[in-house]
Amino acid sequence: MKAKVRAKPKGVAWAGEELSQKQIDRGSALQTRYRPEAKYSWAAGQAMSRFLEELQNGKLIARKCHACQRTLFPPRMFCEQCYRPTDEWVYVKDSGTIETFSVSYLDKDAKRITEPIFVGVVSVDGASPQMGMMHYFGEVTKETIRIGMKVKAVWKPPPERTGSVLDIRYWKPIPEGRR
Amino acid sequence: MRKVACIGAGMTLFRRRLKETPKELCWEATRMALDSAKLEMKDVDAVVTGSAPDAFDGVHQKGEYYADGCGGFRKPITRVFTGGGTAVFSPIAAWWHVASGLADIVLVVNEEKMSSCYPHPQSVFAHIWDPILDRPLQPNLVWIFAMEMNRYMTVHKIKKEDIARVAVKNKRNAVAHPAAQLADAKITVEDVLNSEMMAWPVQRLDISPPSDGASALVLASADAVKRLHVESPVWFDGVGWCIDSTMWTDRDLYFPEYLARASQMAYKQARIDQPRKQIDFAEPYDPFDYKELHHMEGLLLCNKGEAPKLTREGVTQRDGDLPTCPSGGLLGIGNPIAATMGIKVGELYWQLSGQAGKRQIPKEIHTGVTNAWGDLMQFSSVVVMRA
Amino acid sequence: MTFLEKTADPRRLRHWKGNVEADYIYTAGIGGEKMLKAVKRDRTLVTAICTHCDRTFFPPRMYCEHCLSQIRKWGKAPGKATVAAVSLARVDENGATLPEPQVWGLFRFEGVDGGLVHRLLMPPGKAAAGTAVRPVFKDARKRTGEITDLLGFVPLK
Repeated sequence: MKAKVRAKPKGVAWAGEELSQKQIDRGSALQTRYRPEAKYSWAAGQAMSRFLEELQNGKLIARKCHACQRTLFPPRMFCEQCYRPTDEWVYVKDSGTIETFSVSYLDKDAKRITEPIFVGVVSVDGASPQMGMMHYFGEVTKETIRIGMKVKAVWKPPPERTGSVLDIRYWKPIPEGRR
Repeated sequence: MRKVACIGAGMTLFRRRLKETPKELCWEATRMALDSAKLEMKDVDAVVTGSAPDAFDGVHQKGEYYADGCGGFRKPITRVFTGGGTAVFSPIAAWWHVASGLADIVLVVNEEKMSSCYPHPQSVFAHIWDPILDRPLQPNLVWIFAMEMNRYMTVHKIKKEDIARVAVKNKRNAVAHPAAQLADAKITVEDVLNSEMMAWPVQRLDISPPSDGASALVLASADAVKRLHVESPVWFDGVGWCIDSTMWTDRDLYFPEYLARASQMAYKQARIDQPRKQIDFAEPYDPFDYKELHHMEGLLLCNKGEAPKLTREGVTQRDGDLPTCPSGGLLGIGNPIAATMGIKVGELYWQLSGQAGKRQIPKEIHTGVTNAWGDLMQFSSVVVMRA
Repeated sequence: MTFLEKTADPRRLRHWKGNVEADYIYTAGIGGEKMLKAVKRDRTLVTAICTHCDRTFFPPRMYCEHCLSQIRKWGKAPGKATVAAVSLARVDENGATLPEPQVWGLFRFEGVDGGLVHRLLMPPGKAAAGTAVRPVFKDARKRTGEITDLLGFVPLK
């Protein structure tokens, strides 16, 4: 084996001057503060526009690729596997299976919350296996929620829907044997 | 394609917040790398740089902004970015420059200043989600890891204790790393299991927090290695990279298929067909403890679901049969995204050239592999090095 | 190749509103603090001297980008600068029309590489390259260690 040498000569500190939160807060580390203005209006596009429209109608819609025969959800205008345009719209069910989940004690700003948020991926019935979306789970506890649980969407009433994934409040467990 | 070696490396301390500006961080890492290779900027033909979204440092076109700190003064410079995958991908981009014959000596510099984003880089991570499908749910980045970790644990029936062992191993390994932010000689599995629950199953000590830092490597052609009489060149024997679809909710997250493909690409080049036997040590990307296990399997170093067993049996300790993250990894040293190049490819270089000091793996080593991982569970880059 | 069907009705093509904003704190850094501490404390403009290249820089910096040596020697910029170029801004950073044009200048110091872009505090009609100027600063109590501690440059006469 090669002779053992040091990456940096002994006694030479690795560079970097650490700052504490206090130095930032008190301004002893000189600084400039700024918040950019960057507002966006993203075009939903062909597939997502229809997807949102159908959500407002209380329905979930997918696209089918005739080449690989997959029913793609969320819908897309081209199949990423076959690399060709997809062929038809297909409604899928608003029931599904929990593929994975988390029980979050952090909110969107990484602040602690005491009532956890149940979130995860639900694969929808009618689409190809494991085609899913991220969403909230409700009427569950840390003890009852599990991968493989059958769930169904709980929708907002029609006047409250705006064409958003939030038109579904959450997905709740359905008793086994019933859809 | 020409043979390419790493002949020098440098990095700054990794800390939650450093005073230096992005340029200054780059310069510190670059200076150390040039000094270690005994070169000056006039000897360098081209510069490659990698850095994660501009939005962390808070300056658009940040590659151009910090370029002169990387020696990008009147030289060809290329910036590449693949999320967390940049740590191993920018050395690959530098490798192209030399392997193609375009350049003889290339400097790679990766930098990240996550502390600019206030109060927490979480505000920037919020923007990587799909605006229509994901963001309305107000997701926290930890959720992604929690969901992937849960799937991995459930499919293979892995106990949390076995995952916590990785955090313990790496944070203890990091005590020997001069740049480490999070080293802890005394940490135990109980400490990890008792730490604050963030998003089940992820707890505070399962995660490497954000950091500021920079790292740099010097790459050279075989001709340059000869010309410069380099004593301990470490050769890039295989490179690979692969990306999966954006639709992460359509994938079974228990296994990183894109990493397996990237590994196969690199192993083919390196003429490795039995990774577990032919590879002496590994630096898989470990932003979370379960990721080391997930990536060991993606790197085809063991069967699916087998990584926790290897960890439990001590195989992945520095004095084990397959030392894994001997540097201390992101868990022990810190996570300034692209700059973790110093802990991954950099560590391969330092280990294989005998310069890893107190971290040096005791057994004889000739071949190492590393990967980095990026985007929404989508991309991996892999490098195999030999000396 | 194109999609096999398309919605052309614009009322059915939706948009999603959001932002890509966050709060930022930019540290002045090692070189920046060298400059701004001197500005805040006693209205001095510090220069950086690379002894390897024999070059003097303003703004001062931690390293010389020509040779990548560490800078260990510091000096002072001359009290007088020259306007190298002038620009009259008629819109603000968001594109809204300004009530009156803002005069900006690129200021250089003799014997010093580099310079500063800042406000040129003179009437738009009279602003011209070549004018000799000097820096003016905020009152001590109002200085915060940012580039805005400088109000701008005024003609010597």
